[in-house]
Amino acid sequence: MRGGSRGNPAESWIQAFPAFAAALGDNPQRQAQRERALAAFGELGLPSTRLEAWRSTNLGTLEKRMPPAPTGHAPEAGLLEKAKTQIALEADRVGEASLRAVFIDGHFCSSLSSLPEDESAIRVLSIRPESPTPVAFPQGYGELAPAKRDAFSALNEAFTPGIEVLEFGEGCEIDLPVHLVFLSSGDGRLNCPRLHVTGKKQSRATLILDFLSVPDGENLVSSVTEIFLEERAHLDCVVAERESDRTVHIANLQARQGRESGLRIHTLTLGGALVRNELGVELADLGAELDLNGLYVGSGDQHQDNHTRVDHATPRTTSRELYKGILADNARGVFRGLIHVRPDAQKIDSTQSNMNLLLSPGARVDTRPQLEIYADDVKCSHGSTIGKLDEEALFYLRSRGLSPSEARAMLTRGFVAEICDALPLESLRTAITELVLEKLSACVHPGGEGVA
Amino acid sequence: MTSENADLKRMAEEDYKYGFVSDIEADQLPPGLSEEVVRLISAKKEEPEWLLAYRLKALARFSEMLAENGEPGWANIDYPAINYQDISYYSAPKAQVVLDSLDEVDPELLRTYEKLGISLEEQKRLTGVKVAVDAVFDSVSVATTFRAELEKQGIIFCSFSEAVKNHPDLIRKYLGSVVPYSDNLFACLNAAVFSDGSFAYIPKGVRCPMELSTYFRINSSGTGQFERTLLVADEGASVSYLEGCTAPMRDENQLHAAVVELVALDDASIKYSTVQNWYPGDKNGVGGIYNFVTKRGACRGKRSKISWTQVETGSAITWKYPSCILQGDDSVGEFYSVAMTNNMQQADTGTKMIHIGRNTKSTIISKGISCGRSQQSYRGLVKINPKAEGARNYSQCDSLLLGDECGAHTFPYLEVENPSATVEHEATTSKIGEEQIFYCLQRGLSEEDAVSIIVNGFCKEVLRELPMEFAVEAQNLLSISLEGSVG
Amino acid sequence: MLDIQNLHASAGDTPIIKGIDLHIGAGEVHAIMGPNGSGKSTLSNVLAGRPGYSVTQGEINYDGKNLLEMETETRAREGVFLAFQYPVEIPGVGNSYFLKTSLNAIRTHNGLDELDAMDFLALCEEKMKRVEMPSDLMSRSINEGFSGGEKKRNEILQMLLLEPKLCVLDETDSGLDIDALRVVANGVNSLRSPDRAMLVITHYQRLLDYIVPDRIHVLADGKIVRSGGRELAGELEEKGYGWIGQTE
Ligand SMILES: Nc1ncnc2c1ncn2[C@@H]1O[C@H](COP(=O)(O)OP(=O)(O)O)[C@@H](O)[C@H]1O
Ligand SMILES: [Mg+2]
Repeated sequence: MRGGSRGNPAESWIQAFPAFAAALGDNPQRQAQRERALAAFGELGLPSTRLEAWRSTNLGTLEKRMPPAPTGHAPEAGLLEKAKTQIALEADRVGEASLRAVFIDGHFCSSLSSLPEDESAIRVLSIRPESPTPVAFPQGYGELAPAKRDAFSALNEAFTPGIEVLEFGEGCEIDLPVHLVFLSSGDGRLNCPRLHVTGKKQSRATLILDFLSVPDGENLVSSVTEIFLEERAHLDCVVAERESDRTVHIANLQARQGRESGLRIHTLTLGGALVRNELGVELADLGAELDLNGLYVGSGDQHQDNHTRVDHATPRTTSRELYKGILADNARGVFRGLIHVRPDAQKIDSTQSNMNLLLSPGARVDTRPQLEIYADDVKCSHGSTIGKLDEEALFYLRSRGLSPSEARAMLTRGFVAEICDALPLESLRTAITELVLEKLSACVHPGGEGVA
Repeated sequence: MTSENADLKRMAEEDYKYGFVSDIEADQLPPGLSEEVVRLISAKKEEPEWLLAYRLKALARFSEMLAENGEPGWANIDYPAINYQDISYYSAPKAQVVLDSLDEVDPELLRTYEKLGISLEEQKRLTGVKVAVDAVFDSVSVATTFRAELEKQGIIFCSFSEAVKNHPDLIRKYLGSVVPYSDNLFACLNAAVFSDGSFAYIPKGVRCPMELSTYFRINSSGTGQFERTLLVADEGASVSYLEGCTAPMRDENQLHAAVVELVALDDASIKYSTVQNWYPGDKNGVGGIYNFVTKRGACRGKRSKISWTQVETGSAITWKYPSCILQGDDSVGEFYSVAMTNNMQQADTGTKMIHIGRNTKSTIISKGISCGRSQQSYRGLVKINPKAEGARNYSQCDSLLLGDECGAHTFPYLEVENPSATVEHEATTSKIGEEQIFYCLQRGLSEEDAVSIIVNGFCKEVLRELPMEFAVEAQNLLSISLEGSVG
Repeated sequence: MLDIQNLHASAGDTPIIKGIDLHIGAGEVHAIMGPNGSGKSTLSNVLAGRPGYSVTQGEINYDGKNLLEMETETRAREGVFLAFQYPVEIPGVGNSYFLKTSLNAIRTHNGLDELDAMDFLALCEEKMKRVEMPSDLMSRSINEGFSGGEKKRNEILQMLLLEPKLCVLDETDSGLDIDALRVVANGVNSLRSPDRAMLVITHYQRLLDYIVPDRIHVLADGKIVRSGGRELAGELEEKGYGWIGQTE
């Protein structure tokens, strides 16, 4: 990391805005929107640990670095060339996709992307500087992550090169995954990808948000994703965060679910120096069902913070949440999961569980499961555990001839299996499980000191 | 609205049984908080200079904190800002003398206690289970029973003021050692203006032969109550302590800001039980006590144990987190709580278990029952420090909802910095089981009785932690508080 | 095969085994009986090398080697098998994957080639038939949600697969119905061979109707208080454990 105190990053971004906007050359309508967002950001400022929601995550480290700078320029040819191999690798891993779009530092790269020709199932309605005016914002845009409410949504709106809009058409069943790759190119970039996804009535799709960076890249990624599911729409959304261990990623993902819709979000946090996932879902109509799966695996000095909020806004909605964390070395995990049941939202079924494994003396975890219940006909529960590997199980495995490190590795894999097994599509499950195991092997050291 | 809910409403009209006002002449300071008031309180109690200095330091810090941050904003409670100048900080029954026997107590006062169901006279006559009682009326301790008998074993049990006079070394050593005067706004206020409370010291190796007990009552209007309790169990000592509280019905809100400090040395154990039944206000939320209490125990010694049990049914607002600092290796902290809120009551209560020593263990069992339009939150911190090798915690927080206008909230904080620790937290929130009620009705119980036995069953794990005499009282209290909330 | 001399052992800081001498030759089956809490599981845990148990005095010689110097997994690889009284549930770890890893760890240790997935499966299927274990148990997590009987069958299945030299069965019979008991006993009996020793721990005589031991030892308060032939079982059944203390 580059040393020395560099002062207030918020200030530097505000100052960088004119140059960014000039390079981007967006239309006046979007320009005005960006300016409003920037003003909101200026007012909100970066959140401090005095805010309850940021109690366990200190952004002070941002101030100790060179403030990452936004870029209004599309990636140049050299960069594209370099990214090509990495993207090919990832594409290979995930396999065939119904749509693959690549964004470098938030900018869409058509040469690395492959979009479907037939637009009946997936429509791409993105808003980029070259889009016609007046801009046709998708329905609900900005409602779930308004710039006014939180600093990073504001930052994102001010600095996103474009609003990427995806629509899964009514009644369509999209078998192959939609693969979106967000690559951060490296030195000192502020990247603000923005995504808006709509699952039309009875659509069914699988979406992967793949967050990558070049090795050693030092970036701040402030991503915002809004997802709207209409009646009986189903979406499996996999968020794979595996940026370099010098990247700070603040990921805001907000969703609203319509009647009898089904949403499953799988959040896998493997990379990053500091990752904060702000995940909120509003179950806004009868019969909506939500599944949240999360896994965070931290080693070194990684800080991984998952903030989830499940809002049961209407009766007869169901949610199930399972987050697991493995923390090794000096890594720190944070989990805050709020289940909120609004007045009159009766017949709610909601469970939440957060389980953590601490593998080394320097590792720590803060967990805050929360229930806020304002209706009475509910069945809500949460459970949280923090501990080490089960001694009994270790002994059992060793008494069958496994070495201590084999036994630990097996138990650690067993611990994450529940999350990996819930991933959609066989090929994806295999691919992501592989990534998780790779990361795990970096945590369970063969020598195994401290891991008893 | 379902008929059940209508019934819940209908039953919510039960009066507060303890809401009489006693007609006793009181020596009361005019409202207001200032250095002068603090000096006056200290002078009235003929306190030594160091204690006055302590009070003044606390007052200064209080004013600072109030100016900087106002009242603590993080709890899930809602009330208009308190005007600290409207409160009288000292009220004592007149004709206050040091009492050696109950015969010297104002007969009206004794009658008051009898109405509360705490007959001091009777306590004296009781054979078998004995309870030594220190009664605190408004802010002043009025009678301590069984003192002589306790003294034989070297146990000190007296009012705080007496302890300041007779055992200044102990007070000086332990006062503020668990709850520093600057701990929080209400602790500051208490440290500045506390007028009395109870003090107990159990010497080395002594198991206190009877329950020690304090009854607190706020009587005068416009007064606050700021008592201070300090219990010290020396090495190998053990004691069980009971605390009960009531207040008359009044339209205005009265402030109760107590501080309780417990110290357990090597192998000592302290069991602290509370049945809190301050006036909760009427069904529209008028009146009632603001119960802002700081209770904390330090398990200083190896293998020491502190166990908090509370049954909280009263107060308009409860803000209270009896906590344990588990310093000694192998020390144990426990928190058993039943909180019941009805009508417009608000409660934000829970505990903190701070694990510092090795192999420290804590258990949290919290049962919340919300009725009417009340709001209740469990808030608890379990912190495992890096050195707390082998620490374990188990927490279970269950909430029961009766009625569709109340709320139940659970906010646990688990912070673990040692990989050898095991921390487990479970919580559930659900409505009272219709099946269970139906089953009881089918067996001929009234709905009221059905709900009452179900609620008592729900709380059983906690109630069984209470000493016998208290358990019965607590159960009755639960039924009374439920009345009017269920049909 | 197994030679225990003057063994004293503690669980945590509590002395439990208070001087045991036991010799089991190759090909022999010994039974240990005794009331609850007498130290039977402690003895088997000491043999298997469970952490938390310490030997304060005495020696254990296994197959010419000092058993107490070996790590838990080395003992397993050298052929010591403990069928647990309470088999551990391990969520997330597939039973068949676990068994294969275990078998191959032991084979490698003994200079044999690892079995590939196909060979392993074939071997597994054969053994599973022997313990009448439904095949879906192999694809589930280790012991997770298994019934009491299924767990015990899984232990015997492992024993059949790993073909240990010293089998220690800790109350494998408790909680089993008569059919399961027969299956377990058949499994054990099929492993009886001249180069294998067995130590069968049980609380009830019932199991010994199926697995007929060469010697029976009665354990009480950490000591062997009686040893004898198989007729001792009948005596115990008749009189219970109460009389043991008196005769000593
Ligand atoms: N880890 C341990 N720490 C302390 N005491 C133990 C431990 N394990 C077992 N014991 C005690 O040792 C005694 C013998 O236990 P065990 O060997 O399980 O008996 P058995 O298997 O014959 O029923 C019992 O009193 C038991 O409570
Ligand atoms: Mg046993």
